[in-house]
Amino acid sequence: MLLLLTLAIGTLTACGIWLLLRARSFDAILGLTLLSYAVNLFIFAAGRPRVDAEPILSGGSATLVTMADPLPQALVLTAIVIAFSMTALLLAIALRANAASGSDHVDSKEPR
Amino acid sequence: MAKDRGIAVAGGVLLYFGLQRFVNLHRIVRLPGWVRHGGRDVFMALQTGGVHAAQALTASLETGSLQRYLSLLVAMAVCAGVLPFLGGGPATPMAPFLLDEAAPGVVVVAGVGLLATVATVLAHRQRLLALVLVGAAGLAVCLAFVWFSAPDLALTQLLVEMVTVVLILLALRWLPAESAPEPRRPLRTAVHLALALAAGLGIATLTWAMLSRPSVSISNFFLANALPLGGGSNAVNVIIVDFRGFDTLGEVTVFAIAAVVMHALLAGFEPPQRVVPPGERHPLMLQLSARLVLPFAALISIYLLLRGHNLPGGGFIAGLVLAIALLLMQLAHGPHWMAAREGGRGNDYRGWLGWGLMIAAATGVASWALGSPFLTSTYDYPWLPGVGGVPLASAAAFDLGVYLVVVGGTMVMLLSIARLSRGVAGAR
Repeated sequence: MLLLLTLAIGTLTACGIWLLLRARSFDAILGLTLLSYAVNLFIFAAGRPRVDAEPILSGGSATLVTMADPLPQALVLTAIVIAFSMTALLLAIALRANAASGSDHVDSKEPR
Repeated sequence: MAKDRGIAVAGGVLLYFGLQRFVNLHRIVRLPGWVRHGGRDVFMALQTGGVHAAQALTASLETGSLQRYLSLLVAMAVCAGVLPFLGGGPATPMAPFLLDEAAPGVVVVAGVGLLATVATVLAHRQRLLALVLVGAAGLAVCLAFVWFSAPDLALTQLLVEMVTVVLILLALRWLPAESAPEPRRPLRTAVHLALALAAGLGIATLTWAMLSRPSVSISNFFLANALPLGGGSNAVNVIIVDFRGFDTLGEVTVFAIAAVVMHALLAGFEPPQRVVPPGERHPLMLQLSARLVLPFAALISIYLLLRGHNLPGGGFIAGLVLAIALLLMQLAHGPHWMAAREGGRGNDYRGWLGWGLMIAAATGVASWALGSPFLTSTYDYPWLPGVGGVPLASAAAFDLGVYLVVVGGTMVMLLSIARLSRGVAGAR
């Protein structure tokens, strides 16, 4: 199960970086999205993912023995929202750059 | 300076006597042709050579191509990641890659996610298709959060996924529908492929190395103190609005700044017109259902905001729920219809950003008045007549600020792109 998670993080990273290196505004945005999935899952994995151990307290003493680590979850939650705002900002930049240069290549000119 | 000069003179004297022991320096009369003035010529030749070498290096690295910089950056990152493992590697050996028992559903979801990711890469030139495939990968990530006990993350991921897809769809209207074919550069393609594979393999190995070792976490503190100190039973939300509240204040500020920058970038911008196929702009069924959905979404949004401290929910999630309902109204009716019904303020959500940040910061400042450090939270269970004990944490006010910023920011972002279509679709 954790091997699948590992595999997913690796695949998302490789595909994300490949798309980023295509250097077209839209492809780069998709690549960054995939890369942010990978990074979020990686940070999340640092808390050692557990099944059926939601960190919702119900009285009594709660420890990491019985519950998933809430800290990486809190970090990733805000990271998801920040990644969204960066995607939005990049879209705006892509729109302006495309209109200004007539090319959606990140170098503002078609590659030779 | 004086010390440097002293070292130079002492070094020269040592060099002179050192060489004099082997060669009689005073006997050397024949020098190469270009050395006219002795040591000065040698020094100048070395200096010019050094400058030329530096210029050549800069020219080879700094080509003005962001694509090239990015590949260098990735290459350096991969090298920096590999470097610590060359000197012996981690102390404890990694667990072998073994398939431990996984539920069949998990395997299916992971498989769909992996396929969607790879398919995105294969289909990336057809942008609409690629966007749908990325959405599928995102949903698989969301289900991973569900499976691995992170309901807050799953909700956030799902909602952000929806907003992102709509946002990109709106923007795609003004971008080429397909990526131009790449010029055939086999060497460059091979380098990019190698970089992507190296990074993926590296991260996967790192993840496995991490997962196969016991974790040392500080989270026992958060779990033990979420109820007694934070007064909430959803440990994730208590961390966000209480224990790491300062962090969150910074993050909502970044979010607000991104929204304002996006608004500024697109405010006076007129995109070159693209031919848009005629069709029904605002379908009646969508209008009616959007009007039905809005009050319920607002209700659920406030419910999620209020219960966030104790159950999955909170400012980020609740804000996104309301933003999506408002977005549906915008799509169904168009910005003009909405602006006409928002009391003449003209569909402007920038005020939400300001109010949200102010409320969030004010809860922080309020703790100064009580003699505590910035953003210290407190909670109580006041007894209201007819209602009974009501859990009330000062962190809830902070969460309200987060909520306002998230609704406002999301709407500012979406409307700044939707505004571009006004000349085409919204004119009535």
